[in-house]
Amino acid sequence: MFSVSRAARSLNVIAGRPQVSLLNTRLAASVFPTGIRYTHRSSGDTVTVRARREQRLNEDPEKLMVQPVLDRAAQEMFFTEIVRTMWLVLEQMFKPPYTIMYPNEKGPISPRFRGEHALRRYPTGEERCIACKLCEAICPAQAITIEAEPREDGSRRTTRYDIDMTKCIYCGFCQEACPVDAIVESQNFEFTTETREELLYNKEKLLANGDKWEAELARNLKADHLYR
Amino acid sequence: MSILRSTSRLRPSRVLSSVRPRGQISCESRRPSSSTTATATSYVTSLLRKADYENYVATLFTPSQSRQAVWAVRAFNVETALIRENVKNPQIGKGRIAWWRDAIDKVYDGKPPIHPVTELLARALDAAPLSKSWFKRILTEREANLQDPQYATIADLERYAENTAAALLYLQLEALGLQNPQADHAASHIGKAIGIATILRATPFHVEERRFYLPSEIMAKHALSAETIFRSGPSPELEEVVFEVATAANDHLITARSFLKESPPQAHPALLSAIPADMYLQALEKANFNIFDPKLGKRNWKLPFRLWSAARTKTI
Repeated sequence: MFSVSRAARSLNVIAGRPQVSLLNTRLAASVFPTGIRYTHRSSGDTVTVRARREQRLNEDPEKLMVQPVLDRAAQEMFFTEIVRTMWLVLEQMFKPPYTIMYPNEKGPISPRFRGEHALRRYPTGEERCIACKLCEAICPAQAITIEAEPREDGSRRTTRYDIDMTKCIYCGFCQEACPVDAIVESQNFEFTTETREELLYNKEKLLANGDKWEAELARNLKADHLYR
Repeated sequence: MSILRSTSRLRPSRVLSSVRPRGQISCESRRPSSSTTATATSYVTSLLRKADYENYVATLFTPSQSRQAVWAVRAFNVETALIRENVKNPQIGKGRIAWWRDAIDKVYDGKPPIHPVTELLARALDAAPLSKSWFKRILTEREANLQDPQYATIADLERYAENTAAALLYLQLEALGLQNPQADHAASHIGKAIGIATILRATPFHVEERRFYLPSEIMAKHALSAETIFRSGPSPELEEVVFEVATAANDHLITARSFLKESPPQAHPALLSAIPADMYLQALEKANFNIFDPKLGKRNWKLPFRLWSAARTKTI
């Protein structure tokens, strides 16, 4: 099948460009007066290719225009392409479908995905955030508001940690700036609300998010080897 | 959905009960109590096991009284070394380094910030005097490293290794309660070997992110540019470069071995960190100095036995 179509293509080249071919003939005749001598089936350098073309053009042009029937069919009906497409369809019939049933089924998400924010705790239950305000300082959208005061044991803690989710641009700078890995952006992207007020997150909401997603968050932060 | 809701409702009660002991500490005593030290230790060991497994196994050979201090030092290293990998922008990394600088100051003032590593460091300071200057030196070097400079010569690479890996070893020696010039000398050479081996080992990872640190002088000698490596990966020229750098690391290990007899045997647990570096260099030689060989990325199962026999015979 392929040999047939290849033959058809080479014929097409010759038949489709008569002007150039004639010019080539004249050139070839002037440069290689005894072109036949260079014809060599095994080697593929330019000399032999030109010589072969010249030999073919020396034949009767009327004879060239009469193509075998199968060659024409292969050329005009794209016969091989049809068969290959049918094979592709057949392959697909035995593969699982790409479609997923979205709300029930979810596609894979990169561990670097930056979604809804969460505040993490240590395994003891102590909250990580130490109110250093680095995230507040780095936030380009100024979406984070922190108020802090020392607790009765002397440790500095936030009394208020608000994120305006309508301002947030999900750049991830807050989680990069955090020295204790407290504020992180979780994998969750499904937090649409009915009102705007619900998108003004406070500390309770963020800590609850952290509790809910802790397993995923801890897995995403893993590093297998020190590179420095 | 119902499961999620019920767990999130359950969580706060667990949290409150575990937070309560902290509230009982009086305002005056800012020293962490023994219960918080236990939780901080478990946090730090899990961190080390995950991020720095080989050195964690090596630290298990330290005597139990100074083990916590050594873990604190190594965890400090993990926390600061990971900063570059966690930030996209040197400015943000500088903020984190500044926080750690403040944190070290506060630890030495006796008021550590609430972080497992700083709490454990404060506890370690009670047991053994650690020099603040080594911590500062590590932080300064890491801060300079945020800009991703390619080192010019082997000497620059050694200076980097001296300020990070060797400074850590000095701290570990201090945690063991040792002030010995011979041990320090061995630690200096071992630190340089570890630092260079770590850079070599991380090179495939760095190349993925279009970063390159191997000395430009040696690269120029073999007519190789970093861009060629980013585009076409391993090549015979790169093997030559890696061979030269790895030889420098191996020379330091050989020198350290010659000092080992003079240094006191108590110092040996700190110097065991040389074993993972040595094993990497051996594996690199076996791979014909092709750093992209997939075998080099695998964890060596012989490591614990090798560490055990080294700790027993007091060699490296």
